Amino acid sequence: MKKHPKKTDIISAALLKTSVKSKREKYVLSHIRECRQCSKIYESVELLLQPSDNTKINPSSQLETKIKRSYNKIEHGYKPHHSLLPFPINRYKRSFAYATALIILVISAFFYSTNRLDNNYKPISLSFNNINGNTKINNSYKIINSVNQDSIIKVDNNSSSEIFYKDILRIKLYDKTSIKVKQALFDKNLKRYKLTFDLEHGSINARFKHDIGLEYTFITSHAVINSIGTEFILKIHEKGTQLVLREGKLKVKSRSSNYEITASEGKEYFIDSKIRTRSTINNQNRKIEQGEDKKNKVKKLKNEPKKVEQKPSPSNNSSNKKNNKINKKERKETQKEMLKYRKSLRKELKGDRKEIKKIRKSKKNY
Amino acid sequence: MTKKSMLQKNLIDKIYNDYSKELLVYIFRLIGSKETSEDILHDCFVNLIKYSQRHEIKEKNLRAFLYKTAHNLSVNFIRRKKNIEFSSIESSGDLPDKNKIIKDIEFDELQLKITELLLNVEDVSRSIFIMRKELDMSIQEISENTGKSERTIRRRLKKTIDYLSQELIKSGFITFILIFMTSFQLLIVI
Repeated sequence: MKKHPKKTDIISAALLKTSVKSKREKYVLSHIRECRQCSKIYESVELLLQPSDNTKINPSSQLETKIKRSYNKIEHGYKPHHSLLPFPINRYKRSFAYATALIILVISAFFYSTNRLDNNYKPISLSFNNINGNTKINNSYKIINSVNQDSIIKVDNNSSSEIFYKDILRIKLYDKTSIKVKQALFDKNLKRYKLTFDLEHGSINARFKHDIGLEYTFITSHAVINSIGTEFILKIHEKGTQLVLREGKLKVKSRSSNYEITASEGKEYFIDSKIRTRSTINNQNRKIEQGEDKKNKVKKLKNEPKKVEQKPSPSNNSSNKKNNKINKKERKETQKEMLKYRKSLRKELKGDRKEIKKIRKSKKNY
Repeated sequence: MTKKSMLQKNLIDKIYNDYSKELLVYIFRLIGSKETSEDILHDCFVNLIKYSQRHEIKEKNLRAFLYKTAHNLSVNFIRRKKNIEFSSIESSGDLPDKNKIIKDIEFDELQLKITELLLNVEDVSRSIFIMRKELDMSIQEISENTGKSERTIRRRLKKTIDYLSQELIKSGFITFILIFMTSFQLLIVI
């Protein structure tokens, strides 16, 4: 008798009897036929791995109806029968959730921001005093002691009035002045006043207290002026805005060119498309003259004081006398400057001659 | 693909009549609970209907599609549940023979041991073994339904059988069967 095969081989042969292919498997099968002991194992394994009794496993009748119901649902696109909404909410659950969350977020952000603004800023009312003549406040001549945000003040001819707030600010309004209080707020958090005035025409004299936490802006048709505790005079002309800074510092910005400077104390500025000081006007003239012939320069310099006189003159008769006095002073100052300038020119000319001589000498030597 | 390609109701009925029984056996042998098996079978058909809305299904691929879906759903269920208890199918009302009772009990015991051991086998190998054992499918049929090559099926099947036979020998089931077989034969002779 041949050697018995392994038990596992017999089991494998029993299971793969229909698809036995290898020599070893064929040998195992032939051995099983001959050997009684091995055939018993083979048969036992065959019996062991016989299919289970599956006759009792049958799909229930409910399953079929359930599948049919599902088929109908899929065919009709899951339409809810008693839904009040015109669209199937179940399908768009997630997008609905996102949309509602977004709406809630936007609304809460809006309310938060508005409440925060309201809480931070408190509107203040400025005191008003009519010094002489008549002043229109919000198109009425009623006697009012205070002006609020968005009030429009128009001072009549030969009249003057005053806006003030505690001892912090005092703005004097001269005749034919029209000003609008654009913003008058107090920031609670920063403990700072925020004032914005829209000066349409006329002239004002403003004085603000230093280091009190004051942020104010004057807007004219030509300029935007921000300040930090100062005293200045503003005057609107047809071509530009004239500014005389008496005390403190001012930020001056040209509205047409957005050019911005910090105005210094005691200087006079004229703002149109550019911002010009008294000194810069003179310097500009000098630069022009330097480009021309030296002989012509002297002649032009003689005529220059006349140019200074051509500056924009105030329209009112009452202020003409004061301006004339200022012009006389200015003329004297400019004459002094002229003399200095002539001297410097002569020096330059001498220097130039020396240099020319030197060059000629060097050429000859060469 | 439009709704036009969706399987007709009659065709669904035909598919149900043809495959529901074998699919249910397959799923039951995989997960061991009749109620859950029916639920999974229902899901199989729903998947088939939904899939047919979007794609065209050829008739020859239907069986394979259903087996693959059943396999995936059953495996997902096993992974979710982890502890599976195999329940035996309720017996019919007839009282069987005494010897048959003994034989059935021992046979059931063996079947439970095999199903228990099968849980340690890989998902695909288990599916293949059940198809071979319970549904008596040929290797060619199994390869069609699983999408694996015949060679792979044969290799996996042999591996599973080796494992099972080894474990059964270890636990003394083979010797027990031999004794059982001899006694059974004696009874037949008498």
